Amino acid sequence: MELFSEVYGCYYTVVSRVLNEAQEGMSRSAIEQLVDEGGFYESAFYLLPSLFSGEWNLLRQEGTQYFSKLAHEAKRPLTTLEKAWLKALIADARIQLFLDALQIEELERLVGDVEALYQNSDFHFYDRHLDGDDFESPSYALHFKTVLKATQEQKAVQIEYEGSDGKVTDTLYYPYKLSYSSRDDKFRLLCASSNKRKNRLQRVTLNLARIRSVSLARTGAGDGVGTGTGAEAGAEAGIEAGTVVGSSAAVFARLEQLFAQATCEEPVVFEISRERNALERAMLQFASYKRQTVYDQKRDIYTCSIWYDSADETELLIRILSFGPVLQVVGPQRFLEQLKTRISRQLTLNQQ
Amino acid sequence: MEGSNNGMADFSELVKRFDKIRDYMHDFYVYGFKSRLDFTKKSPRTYDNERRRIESYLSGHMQWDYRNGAKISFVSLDCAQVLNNPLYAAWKSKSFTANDIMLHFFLLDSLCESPLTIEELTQEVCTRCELVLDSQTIRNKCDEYVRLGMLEKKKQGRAYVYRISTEPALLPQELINAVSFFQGAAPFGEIGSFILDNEKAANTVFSFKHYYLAHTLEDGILLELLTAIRQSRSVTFKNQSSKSEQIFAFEAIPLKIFVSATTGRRYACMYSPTSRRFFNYRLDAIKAVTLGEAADCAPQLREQLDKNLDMVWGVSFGGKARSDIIRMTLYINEKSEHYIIDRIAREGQGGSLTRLKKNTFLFTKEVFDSNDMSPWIKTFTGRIIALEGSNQAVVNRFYRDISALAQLYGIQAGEADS
Repeated sequence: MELFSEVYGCYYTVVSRVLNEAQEGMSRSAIEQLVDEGGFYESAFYLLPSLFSGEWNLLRQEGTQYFSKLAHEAKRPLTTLEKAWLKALIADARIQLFLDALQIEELERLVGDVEALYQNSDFHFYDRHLDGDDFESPSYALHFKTVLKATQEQKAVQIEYEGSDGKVTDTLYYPYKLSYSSRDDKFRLLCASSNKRKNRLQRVTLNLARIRSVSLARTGAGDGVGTGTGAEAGAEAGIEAGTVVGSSAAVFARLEQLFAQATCEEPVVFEISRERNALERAMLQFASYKRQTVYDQKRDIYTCSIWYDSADETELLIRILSFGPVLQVVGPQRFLEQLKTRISRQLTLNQQ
Repeated sequence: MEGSNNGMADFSELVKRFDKIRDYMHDFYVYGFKSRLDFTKKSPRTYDNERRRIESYLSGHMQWDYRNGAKISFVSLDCAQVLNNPLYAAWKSKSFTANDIMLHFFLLDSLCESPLTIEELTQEVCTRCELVLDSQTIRNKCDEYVRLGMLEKKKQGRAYVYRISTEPALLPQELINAVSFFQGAAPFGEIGSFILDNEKAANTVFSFKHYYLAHTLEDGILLELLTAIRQSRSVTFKNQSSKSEQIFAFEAIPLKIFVSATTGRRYACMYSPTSRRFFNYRLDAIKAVTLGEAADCAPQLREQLDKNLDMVWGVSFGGKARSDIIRMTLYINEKSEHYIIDRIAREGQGGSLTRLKKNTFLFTKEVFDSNDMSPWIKTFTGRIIALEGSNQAVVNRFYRDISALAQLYGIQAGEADS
């Protein structure tokens, strides 16, 4: 099975889109726009001349319009590689969050007797957390499906949520994204709620496993100012300055902006020693963060700046500590102080 | 598009071989501080071409910096904000000829209604594309598509007919949702991305945390290794040393893929028949894999490995001692810090946690190599009352590291509590 094939390529994909839209005729500029949107940055330089010159012979020109020479919609059938990948998903417990038993049977029929691309037992996630979500729980799957629908359709949801203190709150939330962590093996709902007191939107993260009940809010619910009670969702609630709460549609329009903001005021900056292969280890381990690394030739030192979600500050702190003295944090001061406090406490314990 | 210059002499946006861009993309994304002068393995012209390609594939994500008179290109992304991995673009950059793309669309279009023999198909394609093509060219492409699984070749009467293997019907929305999720959360996510492209869909709902985008660059190697695992075969592979950068060839039997969700590393766990031991090799260091002979002992080796997994904290199978015990005494405030107890339960890999007295707990774990545990132990800095273990070097290094950290930050004992 071939992973690197032109049939999956960007050019084939964008050309098939052009051909489909050109069934009814398309102007040159409309084709150019489609290639700009779907191609790589420089694709237009290479793809358009071949398309318009007739080198690929896929379009015919009538006046200012271009028409596809194909008689049908351009869509390729699934390849064995794609079927093998889909077959592997059937054995993944998380598939039940998306498909019911009947739909799984349909998928089995679609992929036929192709061998699964991999088996779950081929992989050993040695440091994955052991308290992952119970994806096979019917109530979890039900909550997941409701939240997924609400997120896709931009509908507010009423959620009964059990916080880390055991307290249950019943609040209206505006879902933004469903976030999955492969380390935690958990889903979290990134959403916003309105803070009644401050008349503002605030970012909230809810663990899906702690949702006790969820329903799509009735039409019009959430319009106006805060209907929530106790928006804080346990330790993970990240609260950001937002804007004054308005209609439900207006709230969803603001979510992108609310979640795009970096939540740390300043990046954490640390210097990386050349010992213990620290540079490579750090670059890989912090690859999932927005970061910049620069090399100071005079001092022969690498300095890395990391932008992070302030709700995850402790996680970043302990990950830096896990490197020991081969990483030296130089700022910001508040982060540095937290680090020093832990080291100082440890030094005291060592000397007892 | 092979050999096409279109006025852009000697440069093509697409490439014939994936490994050509794999290393460059890895370095731009993972390191991000290298300038043209640091890429010494190939000529500066090759670097310029590869950089230009990657800038084109990742146009919205590339950033530039100028330091010491050198331009540094890098990719900086907050993965939590990435819904569709931009590095999948590397898998969508294979070059092709004008015949390839023409035949792709005309063949599939011609077969939409009914199966056809090669002669019928040749005539149909020639009529549609208004060109004269020989039947061998059509046959070659059809056979290629049979291998890819898009077409089927069946005997009908005396002749073979080709037909589309699966009706390319629109996939149901629930399956599109699943693919949108798994393209970011399952191995070989790029395949999910191929499916979404074909469906004119994209993930708009799922975001991913602890997401290592660069894994996709290793998937060609991973596919070869999984083939060997599935077929119980040995492999010869080329491994690049991270220290010397030299490439060495080894023979081994692949058994499992080890994945770290914390450090972003993936390893191929293999059995070396020459040293008669299990080893882990980083996937990003493996440059090529060639399938070898059948290894009849592979199923037994996998069983043996599975039995040993509980003793492997990370990826090391240890030295001669074959077993280390770590005992870590921790201060945990029972009233206010129950989350630490929870954390040990989920991260402690089955190690035992015993309450010794009020606010004092003992974590014990037996592993092949306690060196693997060192980074995790250091995440408890500030609450380790005592660390003991059968590998004294690991224990000593922990205490030395704390002293080194204190010196690094100019800390005296008790400073924080004063």
